[in-house]
Amino acid sequence: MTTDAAKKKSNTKIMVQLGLLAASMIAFVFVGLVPMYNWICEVTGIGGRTTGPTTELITEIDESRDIRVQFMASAERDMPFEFRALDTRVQVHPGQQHTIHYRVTNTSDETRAVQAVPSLSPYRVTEHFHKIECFCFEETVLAPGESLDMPMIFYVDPRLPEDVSSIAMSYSLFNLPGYAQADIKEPN
Amino acid sequence: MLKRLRPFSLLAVVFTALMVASSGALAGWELNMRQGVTEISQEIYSLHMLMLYIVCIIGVLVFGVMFWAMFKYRKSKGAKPATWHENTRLEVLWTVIPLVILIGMAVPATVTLAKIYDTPDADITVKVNGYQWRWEYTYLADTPEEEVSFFSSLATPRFEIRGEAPRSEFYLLDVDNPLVIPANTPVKFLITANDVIHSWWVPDFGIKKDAVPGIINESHATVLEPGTYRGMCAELCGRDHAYMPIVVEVLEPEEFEQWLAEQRGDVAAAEQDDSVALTSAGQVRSFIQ
Amino acid sequence: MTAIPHDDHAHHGPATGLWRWVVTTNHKDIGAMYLWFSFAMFLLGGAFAMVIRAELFQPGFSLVEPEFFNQMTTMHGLIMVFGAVMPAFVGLANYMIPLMIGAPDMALPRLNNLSFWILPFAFLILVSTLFMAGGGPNFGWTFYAPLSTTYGPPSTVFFILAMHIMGASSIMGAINIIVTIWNMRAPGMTWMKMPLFVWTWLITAFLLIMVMPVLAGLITMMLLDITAQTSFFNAAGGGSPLLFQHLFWFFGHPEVYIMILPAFGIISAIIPAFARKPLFGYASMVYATAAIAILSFFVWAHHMFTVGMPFAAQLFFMISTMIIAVPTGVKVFNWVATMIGGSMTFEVPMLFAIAFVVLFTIGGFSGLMLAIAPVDYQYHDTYFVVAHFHYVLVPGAVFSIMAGVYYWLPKWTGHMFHEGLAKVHFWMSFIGVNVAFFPQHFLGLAGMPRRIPDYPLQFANFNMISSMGAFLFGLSQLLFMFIVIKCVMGGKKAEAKPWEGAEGLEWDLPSPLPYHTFETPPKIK
Repeated sequence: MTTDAAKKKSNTKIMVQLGLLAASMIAFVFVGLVPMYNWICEVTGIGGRTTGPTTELITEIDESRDIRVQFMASAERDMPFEFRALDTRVQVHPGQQHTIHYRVTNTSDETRAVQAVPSLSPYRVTEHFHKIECFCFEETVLAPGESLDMPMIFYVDPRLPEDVSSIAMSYSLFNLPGYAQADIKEPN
Repeated sequence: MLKRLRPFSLLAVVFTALMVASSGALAGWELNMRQGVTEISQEIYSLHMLMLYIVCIIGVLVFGVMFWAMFKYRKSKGAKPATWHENTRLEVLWTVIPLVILIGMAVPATVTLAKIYDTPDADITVKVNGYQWRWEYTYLADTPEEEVSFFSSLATPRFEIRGEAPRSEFYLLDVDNPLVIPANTPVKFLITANDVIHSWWVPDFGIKKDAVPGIINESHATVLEPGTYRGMCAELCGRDHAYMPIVVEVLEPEEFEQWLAEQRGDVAAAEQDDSVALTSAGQVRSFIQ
Repeated sequence: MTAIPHDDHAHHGPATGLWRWVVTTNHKDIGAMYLWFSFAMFLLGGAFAMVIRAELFQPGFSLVEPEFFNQMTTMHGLIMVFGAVMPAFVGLANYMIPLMIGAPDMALPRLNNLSFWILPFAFLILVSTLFMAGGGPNFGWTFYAPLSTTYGPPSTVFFILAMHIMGASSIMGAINIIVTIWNMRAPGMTWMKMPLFVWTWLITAFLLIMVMPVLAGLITMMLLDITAQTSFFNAAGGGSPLLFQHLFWFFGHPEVYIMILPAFGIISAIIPAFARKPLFGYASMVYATAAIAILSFFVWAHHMFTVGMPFAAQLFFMISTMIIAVPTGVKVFNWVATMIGGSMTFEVPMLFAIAFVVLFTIGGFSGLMLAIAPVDYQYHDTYFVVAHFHYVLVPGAVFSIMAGVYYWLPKWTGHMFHEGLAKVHFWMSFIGVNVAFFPQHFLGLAGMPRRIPDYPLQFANFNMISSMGAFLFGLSQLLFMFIVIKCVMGGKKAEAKPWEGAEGLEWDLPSPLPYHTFETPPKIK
């Protein structure tokens, strides 16, 4: 009988250990896999997700190279917004700063909050595309009929891979999640 | 005996039904991947055939040995069971041989993959935007005014889908405004989506790329022959997933230039008429009224 | 009188009446309930498949609207994976593992009862979503965001609840199986003496404990995105729909092996039994199973070659996926080598096992082709993929379960099943499966995307053939039910060891099995 009791006790012990393993796997998803994904995206540029403005400045301009940068805009389905790039194409030398503009217009009759999400292609240029000023991931509140020209200042890193001669950049406009759109008051 | 016959009589039923089905005289017996009209798609096709031959040969060998064993070592033929159950040399052998075969498969696959990633400098860039349930094509240009943009939606009428009229040849593969691109010219596709994930697939180009909201994906094609090429959305995107086909009209470069100029002219003319409705995206126009 | 204390009051057999099944902690009762439950789900998921194939019999809307069609494909997938295949394997594990290792019962009998009894509620919730406003889940069994989050039907929260319960049930079942194998083996039952079914289940249970929590985390994030406005998968708030796919397949690929590793164990029991020769390469079978399980954590992105990835990532996932062919090949070669030099007979379990080896290998071949990233651009999300995973799961996992049921049915019931009817069942299933799924390879290569309720005319012929095969396969499962019920009710008396070449502790016990077995541990040779 004593061996049975011992066996039962060790059964419980293994059960608890395995239960902890399962629980730690759940935790691992949140504190391990998700940050790991974001980190990998940042390093490899998967998804073309660029980060916010940079502070690093490069003064040297590589005039031997001409890079074509194209700009696109899209708005989420059913959004009462006009969103477009005012400059659709620029030629730049690596290291050279450029300013381009996007225009967003609220065509509805209520105040709305939106946010633009950037994406770059091909992905491997992501780490070489620096924004000095941008409106990405910024909450923008627009009154009915209000129109706003948003500038983006950028430069391309001279370390851009040799075989890249054109870059495409896209901004997607989304309704800001978590906002009941009707509840938004006047912009600050 | 009856038990033995049953499967075969069922097969007979199946084949009779097949005959009935095929009497509709449709070109409905396509078996294999299309070779396509780009260098990449043709390379993918050869790679596919290579893989197919390799697995068929392995299959014939393995199943051949198995059926031979099943025939030779049956109890009814008086086979006495052996007791051996290990042979390290044999086991190492059939771990190493598959590895060698796999390397033989991986090398050409890597070469093709590298070729797909080695993108040419494209003169024409088309933005492909997936919507529930249609595609929007935008020809990027130097200035916003020169951009040409339109929606491409299913043209198969509802009554054909409902079966109230005979179905046309390109049932579910016809759109109102096809994408038009030039032949023998590198074209870049920038693919994204506006709501859920779609997938832009033209089998003849060897391109299938997911259209993901908030992200742009890139694909390239240099089409070798003018013609009309058709595909379908390849990622479940909701109710009408089956009803957002892709049609690409490939023209000779001069014809394409003319077509594009016409579109730009039309857009300019239409703006003067003030008759073109702006959509939410601001610059989206339909070029065929 | 050496049983675990709580068993003492039930020594003379089970309680009577329906209540017995609610409170039972007996591994045979619970195993049987798992098996019946999974069979009910198999028929329900099969009925949904019949709706799908009926709609696809011809082009056009013939039967159901696309919205309902999408719910059918989703429910068919979810119910077959989580309701039919997984519980069937858990049922077999419950029934057979204590017998195979000489244990009196599972290690944690009350947990066992709980992990079964929450399962019917999970599926009740899942199926009830079909009747809710907006319909049930309609986003495919892979439920990619944002189709399932921002654009999902209101019933999605109930879908998430049901998935959570299923996950909890699986994790508890897996914990129980590991503890049982770890701690309850009879003296002398060393690791390398365990039957392969026990080995494969031990590895499977570890996979379950590792990845079911990932699924739980994933659907929790979905729930937060839907109800609490977080942005894990919502591009609008800086999240990424691609994160969803990475997490899903990090769970999803090991999940695929969860559904096939126990099948390897069953087949490794049956082929030696009917070849009357010991399994070839027992040790390499164990290592191959472990290798497959470990590799399964490094291949997930081969499900998403078309989402846009750097070259190096594509190459890595292509190569890692191809490597899985090596241990899988070892298994197939070992089974063939077991047959060589044997003295074979072809009773029904053996027929299913041989069909398994051939058809699973065909599924493996198409899997190898799908691993080749550049070619996958053409295969991805077409009927070629549908054909591939149905070859792996139907004549793979499902045939192995049927083989196992026929193999152990005389032991469970004490009666022999009707051999003639069972052979008819086998041939109908075999022909049905091939007629249903082989033409789908052609459809996929010719360019038919998956999950569409209607298709261009060039796909009409093979779809009609495929539907007819599916109807035949569906019909033959009713025959299976009849054969099993008939065998439970009566039939020729089964001996303790009805199969001449069968090996294992379970065959030392009388048929039918007494309610309590191995209360005194058996002597292991």
